[in-house]
Amino acid sequence: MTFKLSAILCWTLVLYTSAFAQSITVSGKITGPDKTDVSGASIYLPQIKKGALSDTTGYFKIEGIKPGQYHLHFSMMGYQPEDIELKLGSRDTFLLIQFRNSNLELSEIIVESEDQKISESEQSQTITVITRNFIQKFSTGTLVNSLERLPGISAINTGVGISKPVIRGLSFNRVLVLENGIRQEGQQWGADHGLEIDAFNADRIEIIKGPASLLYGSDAIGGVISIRPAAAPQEGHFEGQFTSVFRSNNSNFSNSLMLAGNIKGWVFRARATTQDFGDYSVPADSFTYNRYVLPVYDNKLKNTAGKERNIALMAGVNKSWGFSHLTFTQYNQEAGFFVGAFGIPRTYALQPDGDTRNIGLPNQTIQHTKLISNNNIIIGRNWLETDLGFQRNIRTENALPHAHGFAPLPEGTRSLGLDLKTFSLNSRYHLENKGNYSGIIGISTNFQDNKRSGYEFVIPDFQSINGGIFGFVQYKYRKTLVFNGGLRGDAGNLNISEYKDLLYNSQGVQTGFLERTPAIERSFSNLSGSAGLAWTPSVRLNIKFNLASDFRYPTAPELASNGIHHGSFRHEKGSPNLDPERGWQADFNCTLKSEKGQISLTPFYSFFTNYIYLRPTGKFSFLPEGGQIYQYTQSEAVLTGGEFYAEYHIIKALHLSLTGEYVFAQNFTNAIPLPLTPPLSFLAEAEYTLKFNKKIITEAFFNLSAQSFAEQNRVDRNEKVTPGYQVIQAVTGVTCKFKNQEFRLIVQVQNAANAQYMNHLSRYRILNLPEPGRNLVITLSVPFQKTSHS
Amino acid sequence: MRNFSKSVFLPLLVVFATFISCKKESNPTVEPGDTSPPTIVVATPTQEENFTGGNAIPFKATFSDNISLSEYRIEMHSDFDGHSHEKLTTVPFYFDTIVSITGKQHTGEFPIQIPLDVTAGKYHFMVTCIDAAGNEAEFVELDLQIQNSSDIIPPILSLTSPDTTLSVLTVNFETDSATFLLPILGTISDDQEIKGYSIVFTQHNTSPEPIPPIYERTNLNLTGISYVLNETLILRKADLFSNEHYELIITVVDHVGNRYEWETEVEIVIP
Repeated sequence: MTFKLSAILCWTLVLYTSAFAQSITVSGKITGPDKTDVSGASIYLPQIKKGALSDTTGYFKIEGIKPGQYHLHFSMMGYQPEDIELKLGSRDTFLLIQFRNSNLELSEIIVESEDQKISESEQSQTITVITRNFIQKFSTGTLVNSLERLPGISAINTGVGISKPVIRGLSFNRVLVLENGIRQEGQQWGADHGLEIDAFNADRIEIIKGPASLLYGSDAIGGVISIRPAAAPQEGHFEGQFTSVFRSNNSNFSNSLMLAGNIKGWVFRARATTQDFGDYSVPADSFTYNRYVLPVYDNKLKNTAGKERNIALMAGVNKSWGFSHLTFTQYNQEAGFFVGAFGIPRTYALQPDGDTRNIGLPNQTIQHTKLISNNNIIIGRNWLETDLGFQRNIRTENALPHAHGFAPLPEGTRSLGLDLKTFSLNSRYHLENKGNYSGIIGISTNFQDNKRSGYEFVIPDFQSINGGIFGFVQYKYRKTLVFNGGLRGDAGNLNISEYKDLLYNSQGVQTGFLERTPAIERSFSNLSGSAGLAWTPSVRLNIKFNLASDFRYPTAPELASNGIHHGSFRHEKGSPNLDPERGWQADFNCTLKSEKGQISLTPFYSFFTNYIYLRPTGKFSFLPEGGQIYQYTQSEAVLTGGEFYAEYHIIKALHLSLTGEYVFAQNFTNAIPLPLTPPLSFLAEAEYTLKFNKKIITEAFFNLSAQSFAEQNRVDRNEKVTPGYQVIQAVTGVTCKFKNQEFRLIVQVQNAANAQYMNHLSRYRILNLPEPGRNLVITLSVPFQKTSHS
Repeated sequence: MRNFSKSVFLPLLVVFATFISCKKESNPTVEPGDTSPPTIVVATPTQEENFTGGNAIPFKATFSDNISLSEYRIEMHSDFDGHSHEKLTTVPFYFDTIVSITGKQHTGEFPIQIPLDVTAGKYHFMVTCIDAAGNEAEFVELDLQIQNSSDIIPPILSLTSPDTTLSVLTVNFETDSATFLLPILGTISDDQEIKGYSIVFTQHNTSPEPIPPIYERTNLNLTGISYVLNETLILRKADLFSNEHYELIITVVDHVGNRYEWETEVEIVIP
């Protein structure tokens, strides 16, 4: 029997290994700082998705593990979570874990990059992880809006129900969204194209702020939002959850049912979600558009209703060699566009049609289907992670056709149809620690095919193929200093088809063709890299620095669009000769942490040699009622700013925090700011948590927060200055138990003061339309579980 | 390597440059940092002005910008919104022109010829302008009334049924009858020549999104100066609800597009 004792800072880890075996058992005992037994603590091995809970005496046991290198996560409410790297030989291992106290709420989770397998304090970039509890507590109609409370994250909204993520002022194709490790591909270039992911199916969201091109390739400029569904339960366990949400502002009823189980390592998970909402209310009875005062009847924005129908099915196997999961998801959304947001709003178009839940014209329907295979296999002592994905995004925008010029009136209402198919493969090989070194080598490849239809032309048909290869090395110096760095090479090809419109003479006879885009073929290659360090001189202090180059290929819309993007009321035109967008970004983070609180400061600086943006030209569109032509142009640009977060617990039950964020964005070529930059904002929050023993109500919390946004006067050409505003929100929740059945009820009042304000990032901002008024949100969730001992 | 050093050192330079630099563009008419939009003053036509087919609209407007103007656009289109006008409309007048201009101030002045056979009605007259940097002016929109040169008098509709003196028309279904017959009787007359009429019975809907009318009858093949209207509206109980709003719209139109419209709210009572 070997015996190892390592006293790392204030917690101790003791390793015993005994008895040769092919199938190893890892067991141990968990204690608190005062040596008391900690029961109910979670122990988890993410590589094989196996876990256990400590018993009443603090003991735990996980059997059937192969020799190899593992990550082990230990977590428990009220304690600082711990993660260790464990090299298992051929002997059983016994661990002694001593937890440190922590009052910080997020201590229930391990903040670790799932793709890098590096804990937060050893990573040179800022990484934030949020869980289902957070999403439920601050429930909004979309997943992206739930993230807006986090420092550095905002959203571009089109009414209610359609939103896309913004990280540090970067959005569209500059934020990479992953679900189950596969990049979400769904026409991200469009401002009114939201994220097609079921908010209920997200259990854990990992957000990397700043460039992550090294691991993820093109598009990971602003950051990465990696969404994971809940892990399947442990062997012999079955669980489920029913969640129902009501939102008063748009009479939204959402329901989601989940069932999951694990029979001898064979796992499954199924979820079905429905969401139905009516027109949303604004605290205003009129809005002004270009000198015209237009009415908002009954405070309702006509035709902003919508519905969602989503399913997710997962089946797989978790064994000692790793895991293999197959996931099928389908997202279906149908949502109306505010009638006044298409073209110049007219009074008659805004009058109520007697039904606040119908989805009239104009509207959009989206079906996003994905089939994803996630695999992690032990090879010798190394791990090979492979994610394969196929997804199809079918988007249809419907609007009444208008007869323009001499062309005949188009038939049907489909103005724009886009059918995008994407095949992705990512593979990462995690190399075993050699001394102080560890590393990852990986490849990723993507194939896309886009087909258009409809009577309007915005973007053409295209095919693209691209691939990349990268290497990432980490070096640990004396356990407190971690250096990392890597290089990546990428190459890609984009093949755009020509598109021609029919031309008509004054008698309505077709006389020829009008070229909207020529055929374009472009090949790109890029070399990128990053280097960083993370220093933990003491348990209280963590300092990070990261320097990375990032890139993204110009997209087909940026190269070849040429038409009126419905709703933006402007003619968007591509530039066939754009180069890949390249940038350099420096990130710094300093976090000071104690048992009672933490304070963190994260400044960043990004410089782009050729930032691609839509620039207004001095020319009108040749299309009738097309307005001004906006052309994709490249410019030197800078985005800089930072985030601030402070949290303090005067007593354990009382959480007080303050979050601040600021982005300064400047276009050097034009010497004016970049468009759609989030304003300076602060979020102050107080939460009081009560716990009861042996009562029907086991837990209750009260949360009050105020968000303050400064005026955004740094605006692009033709963009409007948005006045500052304050929004107040109150949330309270209880957890009850009747005969072992748990119920969770959360009541939320959003925009409690019914403030009338405009959001600078809203697509309806150009209409001076106010944001939704007071909203009462009631969430009921009923979790249930069953354990079979057979 | 050159790119590398540029990429690394430029960001540092740029920190300072952010607040002081103005990188000049190649186009001399574009001033970096220019965010002032041009302004439009339309002298003529004026709001709600009346014009007659065959004549010209005397367009005169002054455009000004702090640096350099680029283009202005005049667009005129019909505003025959709502109900079933489209079906009665001949070819409405549509005018769209883009004019390239330069300098800090420009006065555009030219006549816009209205065709002789113009469809009478309300038109929108819009003027927009952009400067060389791409700043867009707030557009000017005017409502104009266009009349036909040969005929400015709309047709006349005199109904004997339904009763036009009632503000709400009540339709009482009998308990055991599945349909209700509503006679539409009267005369249409015009000083020159009538073209047709349409009768629409629809759920209340004033949005531009069409909902299919429950009943629709259009006849555009009339001639002469007078016509005896004799139609029967057949309402089926199965298509109707007691608490919904319905309306009956009767439109008559003459040969140049002058129109007269009568509408009434309809209350449905189903026992």
